[in-house]
Amino acid sequence: MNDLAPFGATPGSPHLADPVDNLPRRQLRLLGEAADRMLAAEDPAAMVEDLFALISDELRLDVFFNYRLDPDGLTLVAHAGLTEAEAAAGARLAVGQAVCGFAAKERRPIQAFRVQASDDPLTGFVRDLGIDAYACTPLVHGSTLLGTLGFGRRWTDRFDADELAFLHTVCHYVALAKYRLKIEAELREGIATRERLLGELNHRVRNALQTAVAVVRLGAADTADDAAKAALAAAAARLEVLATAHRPLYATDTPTSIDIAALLDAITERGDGEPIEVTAHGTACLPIEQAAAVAMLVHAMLDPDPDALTRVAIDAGGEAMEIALIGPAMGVSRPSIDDGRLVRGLSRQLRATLTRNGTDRLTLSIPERAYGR
Amino acid sequence: MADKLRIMLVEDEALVAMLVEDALTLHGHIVTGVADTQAGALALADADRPDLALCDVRLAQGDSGRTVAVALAARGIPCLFLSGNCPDVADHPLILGCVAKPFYTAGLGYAIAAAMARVQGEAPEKIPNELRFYAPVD
Repeated sequence: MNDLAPFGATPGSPHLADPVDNLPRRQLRLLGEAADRMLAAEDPAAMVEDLFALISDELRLDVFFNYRLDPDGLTLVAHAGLTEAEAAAGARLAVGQAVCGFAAKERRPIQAFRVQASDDPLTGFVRDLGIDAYACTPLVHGSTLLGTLGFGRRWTDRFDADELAFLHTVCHYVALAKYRLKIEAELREGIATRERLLGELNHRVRNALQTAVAVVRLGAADTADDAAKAALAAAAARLEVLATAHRPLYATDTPTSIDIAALLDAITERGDGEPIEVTAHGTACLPIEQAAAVAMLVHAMLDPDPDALTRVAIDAGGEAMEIALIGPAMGVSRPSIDDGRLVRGLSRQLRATLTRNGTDRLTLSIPERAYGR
Repeated sequence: MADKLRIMLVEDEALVAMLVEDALTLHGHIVTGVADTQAGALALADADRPDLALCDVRLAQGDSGRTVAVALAARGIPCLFLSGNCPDVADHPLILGCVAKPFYTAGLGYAIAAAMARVQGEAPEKIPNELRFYAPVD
């Protein structure tokens, strides 16, 4: 098989200078431009078509075939110099079939010269296309075979060594670029999948909380017992506070950190519509578990009389986060609230202490060790 | 159902701890205490040894419920995880299984009965959907 031979040095032969070193300056410039285009390419098929347009005149090429390796063989993904019928005839190749299938199987460049005078069955396909010289290179990155790229001439029966060196180098660029595009596509797909999952998760969490609120409120509506109605209404209000605490998670890049000022602003609302001023000094953020506990705790403190609150002052500048709930009677002792099971449990979770000043200020102090700032 | 058991709870979220505490009490068990850190859990277990520990996977102050469960199991205390993110494997033979959150509070009693049956080498009467044992069920 003299005319269907591997290209390049045979194993064990003396090391020679890189064949590209001998290319004319014009071809070296073309290689540089090809590299530029490969680096900027965004579409694998268009990239090879663009490459062929760039080099076909210089190399006097008539056709190219670019096959992609799929699990079940090689698929023609880009070509030039073929009729639609010819392209359809070569649309699929088995690994090992024809010149490019053979190059894929051997994972080395294969050249076929004097094809029209040959009766080698491997060259049958290109011979039928009128091609007389054909060079196919496997596109390999690392140990991964991506496909093949073959170039053919109808006007002559061979390529010289410099031309083969040029084509081999171009194919190396194409393999690198295709590998980059493949990895980028996989990354994009991974990101898109993650975003779809996050969106679904957000929807499910929101929906589940809203459904829970609905279930409890419907239960309240269905009961005639006033005490039960009030208890269910309080439970639904707590669920709504929880939902509010989780809401920032759906629209943030730092889902573990909740802005406490924004959260308290959202959950403190007076029945008379008067505004409640919320101010913060320092970075007042907590992880979601602690933020939800703070929201529940503040809600529990205000539940008997939401209109008692006029201002919230948060100081996160010291060793503890101090949250002051300020209003005409906020500092007056309320044992039924302060000693309640819910307040004790949430305070223990936060390692928080509650202090009332006897008049207008209730202070919730959360040590930084509780949230690992 | 299992006999009256002394159960300790390792859970960092106060509301969940209250819910589980109430459910256990409703099922006739005694809650020996609630801890939300590794140090708190081990101190509680050493002070008042329980028959069983229910242990969340994520605890306060960055502590790991898996580490706590191994330490409790090493003391001979059977453990069940109670978590929204159940570990795939147990790190100790006495870490019996995991009850996945959210769970039916009514199913918690069956989960505990099934766990204790496993400890005693008996076939569980009923295994609720939320409970997954780490070793194959006989």
